[in-house]
Amino acid sequence: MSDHTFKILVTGPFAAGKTSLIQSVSQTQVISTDVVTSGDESDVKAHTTVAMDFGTYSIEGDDVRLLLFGTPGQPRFRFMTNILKGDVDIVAFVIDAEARQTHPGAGVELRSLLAELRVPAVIAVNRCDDLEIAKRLARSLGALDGEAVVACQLNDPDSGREVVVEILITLLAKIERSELATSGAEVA
Amino acid sequence: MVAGDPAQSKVTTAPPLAFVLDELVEVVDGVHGSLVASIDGFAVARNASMPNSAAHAALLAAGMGLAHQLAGIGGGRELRQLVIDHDEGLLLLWPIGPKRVLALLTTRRVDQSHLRRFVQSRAAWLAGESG
Repeated sequence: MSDHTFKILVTGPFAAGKTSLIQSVSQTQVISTDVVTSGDESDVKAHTTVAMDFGTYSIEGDDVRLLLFGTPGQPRFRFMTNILKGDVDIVAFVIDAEARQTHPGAGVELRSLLAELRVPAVIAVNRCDDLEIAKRLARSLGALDGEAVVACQLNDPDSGREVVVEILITLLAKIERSELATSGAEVA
Repeated sequence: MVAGDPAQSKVTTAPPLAFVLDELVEVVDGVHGSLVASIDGFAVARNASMPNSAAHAALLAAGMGLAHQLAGIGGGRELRQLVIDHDEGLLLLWPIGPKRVLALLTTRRVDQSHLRRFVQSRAAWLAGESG
């Protein structure tokens, strides 16, 4: 990505709130591949993403631009995550605090993805108002101490913007670390 | 014949879906594989020569999902077909009703008009709206 454009991978289990996050914060029309669900999944929700969601968020005019790429949540669509995860700057991992049956698999997915991509993560704990509970859940999924955690209600756009703020703060910290490493190398 | 959905195998006035897919391959010259999937990525039925891969249905759903959006670039609102032209022939994807997609493996010389007429004649069965 260019100096001021950042690619954010929005991922997490089925029905965690990934599409809701992108829809709530995107400043451009969201590209969505939602279709009607069938079988057991229709008991959980009426529509699901089958390929990707795409939205954008800009600050200071267009000086800093986030490109939000949302993945489907079901394992059968894992190939889409593999396509979308290239050149990612940050992973925004969305988890539904109340969907406990998804947590074990989500933990495995989160650690595996971050170990492979070696980028920072923001963990958005949806349907949760208590940051301490959100942090405990994130730790139980294997989140590390430095990884940002947000308690949010992603059906509320203001809550979605809190996730974006955390993404921006995490990006800033990443850039600062990168600049420090560069200046350190120059001094050496 | 191979049916992915046991509900399709029940005795009804309509033929089993896999029977229709086998017939399609036998009757239309140049078609060598056919599969029906739900638009959210589950296999519904396939003809006998199609490999049994759950990934195929998910790939078809993702492809159709993206193709619907790509049609919008040209101002389109209704996707009629997605054609994958590859070194071994064609993969034709057609929406069948609001909830299903039909995938057809064909040679490049297949008579698409004939194929479309055949599919239209059995559209209700393929869409799961009959029998």
